[in-house]
Order: sequence, then C-alpha cells, then structure tokens
Amino acid sequence: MTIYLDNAATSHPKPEAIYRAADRTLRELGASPGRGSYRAAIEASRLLFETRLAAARLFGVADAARIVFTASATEALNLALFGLLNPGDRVVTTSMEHNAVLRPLELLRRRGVEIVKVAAGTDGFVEPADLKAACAHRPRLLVLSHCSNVTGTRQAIEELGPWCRKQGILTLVDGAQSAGLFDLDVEAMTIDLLAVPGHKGLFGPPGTGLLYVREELQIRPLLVGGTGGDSTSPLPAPQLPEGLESGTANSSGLAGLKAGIEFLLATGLDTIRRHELNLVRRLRQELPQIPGLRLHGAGAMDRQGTALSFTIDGHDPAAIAFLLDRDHAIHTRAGLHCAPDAHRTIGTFPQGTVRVSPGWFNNEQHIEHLLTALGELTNSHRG
Amino acid sequence: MIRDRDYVALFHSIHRVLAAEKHLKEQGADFLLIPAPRELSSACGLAIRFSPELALQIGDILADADLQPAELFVREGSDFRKL
Repeated sequence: MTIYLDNAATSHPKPEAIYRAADRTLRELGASPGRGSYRAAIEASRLLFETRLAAARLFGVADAARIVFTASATEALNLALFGLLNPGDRVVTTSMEHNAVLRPLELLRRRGVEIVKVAAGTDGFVEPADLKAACAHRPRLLVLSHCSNVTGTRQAIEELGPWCRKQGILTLVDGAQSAGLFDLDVEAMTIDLLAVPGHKGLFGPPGTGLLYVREELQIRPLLVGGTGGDSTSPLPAPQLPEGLESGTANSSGLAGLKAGIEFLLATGLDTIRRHELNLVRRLRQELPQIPGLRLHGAGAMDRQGTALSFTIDGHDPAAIAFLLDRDHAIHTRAGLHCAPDAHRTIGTFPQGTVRVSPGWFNNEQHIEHLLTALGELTNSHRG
Repeated sequence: MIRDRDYVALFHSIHRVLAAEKHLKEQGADFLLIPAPRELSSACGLAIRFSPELALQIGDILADADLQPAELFVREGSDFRKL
C-alpha cells in the first residue's frame, strides 16, 4: 500500500465521479465547445457553461461569465499579472510566494514594473500592518497567496481585501493551496482577481484552472486565436469569458472539474476542512516529538492550511523523502517547492524541507505510518 | 426553422446565449435554440428564436436576468429587420 501525502502538488486519488465524468466526455461527447451548432457541440458548450456556474457558486461569484478557464493556476496568475500591469505600475507582494507569482513578476520588473516584497515571519505569516505600510505609495496591485505551499500559513485576506478596496488597490489572490479547503468568497473577501488550480483542492484533473476577474475589470488576453465565433474580427471580442479563452477547451478536464466542484459542494467544505485539518493537527502535535525534528508551519492551528514542512537536524530532506518512499511507500516532497523566497524566510534555504500535505483520502493510520517511519528512520541513522 | 414574423435574438457570446437558454427554460418560456442564420452576423453561432406573441414576455424575462440580447431581429419575408 502506498500512502500519498503530496496533495499540495496535486490531489490524489480523486472521487470516483471525476474519473467517470472525464472518461465519458472524452469517449462519448467528442465535440468542441463553441465550435459548431450541432447538438453534441451545443452539449459540449453547455458542459463548460455548467462548470462555470458550479465554480461561480463555490467562489460566491454573481456573474459566472467572470470565470475564465485556464490550464492551471500558473496560467491564471500569468494571465492576471501580464493582462493587468504596465510599465510604471507598482505591485506589493510577499516573501512567501510561489514561482508562479515570482517569475511573472520578475519578467514584469525587467519591463519597468516596480515590485515591493514584504517579509513574512518565520511562521510564514505576513503582518497585515506591514503590508498596509508597504501600500502607502498606492500600488496598482497587491498579489499574495492565501495559503503558503511550504508552511501552509494562511494570510489575512479577509482583512486585506476590504482594506485594499477602500484604498483603490486591486487584489490578486493565489488560491492554489486554499481553494476547496477554506471559504473563498470573492464578494465577502473583496477579491478582484482569484487564481485557482482545478487539480488540487477542487479534485479536477491536471490541465484545469481558472481565473476570476471582477466585473468591469478589463485585462489583456495572454493568448489570442480561435474563439469559435466572430471569425472575421481581427481580434477576439473583449467580453468575458470568451475573450480570454482562445483555443480548444479542455472539455474532458473541465467535465472532471465540474464533478469535483459538485463533490465539494455536496460534501461541504467544512466537512473536508475538519477532516484534513484534524490530520494536520495530529502532525503538528506528534512530529516535534521526533528527536531533532523542526516543524515549519503556521504559528497556530487557526492560521494553518494542509501543507506542513519539517526538517530533521543532520538529515538531508531529499534523503528523508527518498527513504520514506523506498522503505515505506510514503510519498512526500522534499526541496524548495518552487518557492525559494519562502524558504529564505523560514530559514531553510537552500536545502529546503520535507513537505507533508494530507488530503481528503488520507486517514489517521496514514499519519501513524508516517510518524512510525520517521521514528525508525531517525533511529537507524543515529545508530 | 424560422417562420415569418418570428423573432431571432443574438447574444454574441456562447456563455450569454446558454445563460439565456437556461433562464428561459426555468421560466417555462416557449423558444428554440437555433444556429444563427447566415445573414445575421453572430459572434457565437447560436441564436434564440421565439414567436412574436411571446416577444414581450421573453423580453421581460431576459431583462430581469440582465440577459438582454446584443441584437434582436424579426423575420419579414425572406429578410430580417433589426429591431
């Protein structure tokens, strides 16, 4: 039996309905959404439409047309950043961001966008007061992850969103580690742009993601090409969602995503959250009992998401992950997790950490196996 | 497919035309989702057709849902007249 504890990379396994929906769409539907007026093509268009409605319901979006499908959260973040920012703009971000934010910002910096990075504490939390102080010079945008993919630390979006709106600062939230886990209501949290992967907390297949764009906010497309209609126009019509969705849609992936969101809504985010955070709570209690182990998580459970990191004195994180896999069939991820600044912040650069990220299909026995395996591993290496 | 005096509504967006379809279905309105006639340029290839006596009712349902058509035509003989 293998124990998968890398749900922060992608959730696995998926609820059965996701496999069935993707398979049925690929096998039986076979038409391209928005291309053609025959019944199967309209059915494919309806599938996208209904997936959009489901996503809108999950994120509290009043007009589902403001949900744009992408291939990943990375694409959604690129679309938002390149679609919005111009030379001379100022952006405030944090030291806990993933390369999906850092690298587009670096390219934009080289094109004349000013980037201000606000440091988090060693618990990964960025004090809202520090972010507000950095926003004194009225940046165009504040971009930050809701939950860190290294420590799981959840930022105070609920406080920052409304404050930024009052200041006239746009907010872009990277929901890669929080969508499907914590409530992300774009109206209640006053989020202008929300980037979400389809294949993590929403249980969809890889190759799915979305960007929510607040009403009246106009952004440039990242890609242009066929949209299925208005073919004589030199550029796609700017209206959402079509104007930002050129190219053939990933229908089977989106069918799986729709099934994933329906599973989430039927199960209830609070039920999922309770289960997953119970496993994380147990990890936070028990991991520090292992001699030499240092936990790298949020300061307290009320700021903790489902990703959690640790290091063990005298052990290379890569070797720990290797031995967990080889000797115990436990899948964890070692290294920098595409977030070098986050590791600098928590003091684990350049060796990185071992990251454990339980999901819906993990249980207490999995956690016990991990704890036993780590106990054995540290003992045998000491002896 | 389109009879004389029928109305044809274009939305220039596949999302909006399907939103209109869903809403009209929920309200029990009598209409048909059809390929947009070639003579009318449509950004999405689909249109909603309904008979003239339902024009007011359907117009109200769509307006209430903020789903007004981008363009509305009436069939007159072999032509379409824009409203």
